[in-house]
Amino acid sequence: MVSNVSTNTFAPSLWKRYQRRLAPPLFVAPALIMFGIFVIWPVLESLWLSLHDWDGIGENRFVGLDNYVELFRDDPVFWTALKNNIYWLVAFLFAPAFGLALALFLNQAGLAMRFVKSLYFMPFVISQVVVGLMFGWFFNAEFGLLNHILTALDLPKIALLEDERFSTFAIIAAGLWPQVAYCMILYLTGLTAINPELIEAARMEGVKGWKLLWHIVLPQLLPATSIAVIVSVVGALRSFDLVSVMTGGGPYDSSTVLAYYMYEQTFGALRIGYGAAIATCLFLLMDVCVVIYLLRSLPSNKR
Amino acid sequence: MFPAPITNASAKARAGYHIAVWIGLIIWILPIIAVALTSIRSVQDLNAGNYWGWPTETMFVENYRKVFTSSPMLRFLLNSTVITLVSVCGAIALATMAGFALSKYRFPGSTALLALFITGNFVPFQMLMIPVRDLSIHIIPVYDTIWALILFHIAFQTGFCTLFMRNFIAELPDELIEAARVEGVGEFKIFWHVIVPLVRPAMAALFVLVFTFVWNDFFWSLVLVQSDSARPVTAGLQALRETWTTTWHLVSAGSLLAAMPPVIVFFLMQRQFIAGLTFGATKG
Amino acid sequence: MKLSHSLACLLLGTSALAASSAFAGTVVLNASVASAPDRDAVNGAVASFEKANPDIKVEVNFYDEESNKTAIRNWLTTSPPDIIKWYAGNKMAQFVKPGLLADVSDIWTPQVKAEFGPGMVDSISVDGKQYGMPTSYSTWAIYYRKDVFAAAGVAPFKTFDDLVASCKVFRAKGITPVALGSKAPWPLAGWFDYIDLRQNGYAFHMDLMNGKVSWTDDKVKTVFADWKKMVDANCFAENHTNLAWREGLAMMNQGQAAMMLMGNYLIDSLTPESEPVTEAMSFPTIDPTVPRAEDAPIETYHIPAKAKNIPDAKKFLAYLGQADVQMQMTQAYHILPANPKAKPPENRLLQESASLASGAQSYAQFIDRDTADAVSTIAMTGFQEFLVHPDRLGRILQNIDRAAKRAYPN
Repeated sequence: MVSNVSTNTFAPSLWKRYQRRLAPPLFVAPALIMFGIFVIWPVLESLWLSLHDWDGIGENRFVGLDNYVELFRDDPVFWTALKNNIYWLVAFLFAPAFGLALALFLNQAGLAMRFVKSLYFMPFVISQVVVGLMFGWFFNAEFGLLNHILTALDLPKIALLEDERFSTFAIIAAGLWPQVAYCMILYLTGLTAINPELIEAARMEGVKGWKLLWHIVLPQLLPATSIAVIVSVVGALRSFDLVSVMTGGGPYDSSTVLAYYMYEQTFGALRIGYGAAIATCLFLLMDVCVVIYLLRSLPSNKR
Repeated sequence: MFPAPITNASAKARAGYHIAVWIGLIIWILPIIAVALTSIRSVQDLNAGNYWGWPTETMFVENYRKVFTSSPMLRFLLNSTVITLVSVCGAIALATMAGFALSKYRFPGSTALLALFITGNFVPFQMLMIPVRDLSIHIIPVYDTIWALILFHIAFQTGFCTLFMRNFIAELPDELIEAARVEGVGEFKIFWHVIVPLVRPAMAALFVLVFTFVWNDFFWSLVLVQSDSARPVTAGLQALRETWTTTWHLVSAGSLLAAMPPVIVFFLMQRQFIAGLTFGATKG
Repeated sequence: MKLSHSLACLLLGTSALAASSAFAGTVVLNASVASAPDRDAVNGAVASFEKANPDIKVEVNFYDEESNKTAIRNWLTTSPPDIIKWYAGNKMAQFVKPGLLADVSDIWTPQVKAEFGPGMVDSISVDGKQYGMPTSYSTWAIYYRKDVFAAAGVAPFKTFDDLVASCKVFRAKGITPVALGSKAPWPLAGWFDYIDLRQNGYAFHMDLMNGKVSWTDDKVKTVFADWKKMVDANCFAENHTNLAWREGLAMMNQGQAAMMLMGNYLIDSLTPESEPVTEAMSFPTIDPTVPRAEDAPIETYHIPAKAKNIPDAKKFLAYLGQADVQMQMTQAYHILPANPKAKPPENRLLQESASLASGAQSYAQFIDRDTADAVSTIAMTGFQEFLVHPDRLGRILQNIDRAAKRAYPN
């Protein structure tokens, strides 16, 4: 080992001797500190708050599991929100399939195609607030474009955002727009990485169309699929922006989701502890989904 | 290549395909087209109920100028720019260091830390809302300033970015680092002179990704900021909707202005964006 | 001699300096404004105050109403400005109880109290002490298109039954009787408040607001029974659940709807075509033996207990209470001044609505200011659901009642 040019060997600094051991914690420290302060600690504090009753300025009263009991036993809005979250999850699980369809449709070469693909991807890059505004107008019963089209086609007008039966689905449709764009890009990239020789070999054996897709192409797209699914699950549960902008949870809470209900309870009804309990439920729901996903994907990854 | 390349098909099929693609495109981005049209419409059109036909007169300059004169839109855009740029640089810096440590060193707890960063990604914002807000009011008093948003975004995005960087740096050959160590180069110098130049593509990918996420954030803008002076454009747009209730030409123009920067960044750095999003899709 | 003379000058000089620096102060005002004219009004008052008090500088920060509601709780508990804008009655009491507002009884001299009258003074008093300064109030009325009424042969209502009957007439002519936008459901609370005030009276209404009466009480059910008559007569605009109130108003501006129950800020949203043919009338009677009460929510300014410059803030607060200052503000932004000595602005409809509201026995502050937030949020969404599904009333009332019992546990 070549020795240091420095002749300061009289009292080699602690640093010089141990830097290989000291450096890693120092490298990690800033990220860990920030993450700890703004993510880890708040999760713990939220859990603690959910066991209290507090309006933000008065007394912070410990109530144990009362908030949760109230949520499950007495609160119809909680169950509506949970039900809507399930709808979002199920609907978003279709996003990868739609994304794949679009990717297959667009998977051609050419300069024009590159430009087109970028434009198809734009919905994902736009802020959800803007998406919500656009779709809000589109669906509006009085002056929305959808009803204009229906009227032009001699069909009856429909009220989507104004009707408790449909409002959630209208918002989900708006949410699928950027989500499908995201899945599309995942698959487009995945498609460029599939093994061309396998395809050629299969084609020479006369395999084409659906069979080719199902048996040769899809298995190779598994990494893209797994990312698409996890991203869609997370996206489905994060639907705050669209609900807030399009309906505010209405009509009368029929389109609310846990993420929005929590916000409303904290800032509108001024029940901090109750809001924290709702957030905890959302957290648990997301954890359940992630665990299910991991359990299913880990064994298959061992291939 | 799958499906079969269109160049192999007949000219008619080729033409048919391209027509289908462009019609599909117009339907797909119809909402954006509609908003763009509305943003250049005159007030008379809106009052007369002409929402979806061709505008009777195009008021591009007038409408967009009105957005800036009748509201703090310029302030909102400036805030968004500062918040986003600082957050992105901060998160990438922290994540590169942490990613380096977690990929090239083995030290007790490194796996646990990685798991921590991964799971942190899945925490819903609502779980963090109240404590982070209280933190920014009472402990680090940055509530209602852009620093509240900057600090939070750096912290939260660091989770995802660390994972990203860690995976990327793990692919770099260990020999480079060993060689430098043999030369007697200190750890921090190795980081700065060996690692950082090599991870530039990853940094670029993260830049575009995190730029989009932070610029488009709405939730934290609502929770941590109340003053117009610190408000970013997503929340500003929502607040302006109250003032501009029936002046949709202004809301549309404002929406497009708010949506533009990430779109521009995306178009300029498409390759890095897609690489960032799909990272891991091909690496399993 | 000379020395003492110069010493005297020195003393005078330094004491003058000291005196001016003792009075030179900054007052930070966080102003909640609803529109550009509102902002102009505040700026005007600040400018004239600074002119009258050259040693005080007022720093203004503007907020929209929703942001103000959210941020104010944080300000009050940490480092607040010197002046905040809020609401009278229960809303103010919420902050007085935890000691977050400064006692400003000293600026409420007997003359000032006499000027405002007992109603206004009570609205900002708790336990005999004053905690704010009312600057404006809004009145509620049924604004209607006299041309649409005339075309349908409908006369302004004397009783509630007249209102219900008119809906059939309007519908037959293809007119929507009541314009409504309930995406933010508070306009519905106006209907609830008024039917309750007309049917059961102010005392009962306030008992309900204060949790002394259950929401499942029979008298509450009669309110909804009355309201249901309107629903059955198809009075309300369709699809109101996704319309902002101004979007609902657009129907009336276009002459396709006949009337709207709303606060006087509706006046600023009338179009030049619709304004000349719009009139105001009082909410019709249901029970003629019940003394008349109106909704007249009052806006107020307060000084947080933790404010940095309370003495100068008090000067500004007292200034805002002056009749001429309130008149000046309402010239820029057409609202009704709280000080009875201040003449309301020269606006036909505004003055009409003010005279309609005057002379009532009692004034309520509107449900979202009279009762706890946890109750009013559930109540207002409940009203929205009731209008679309009147059959769900039992469940709706139980939900509201549960929230009320939690908020008022006694």
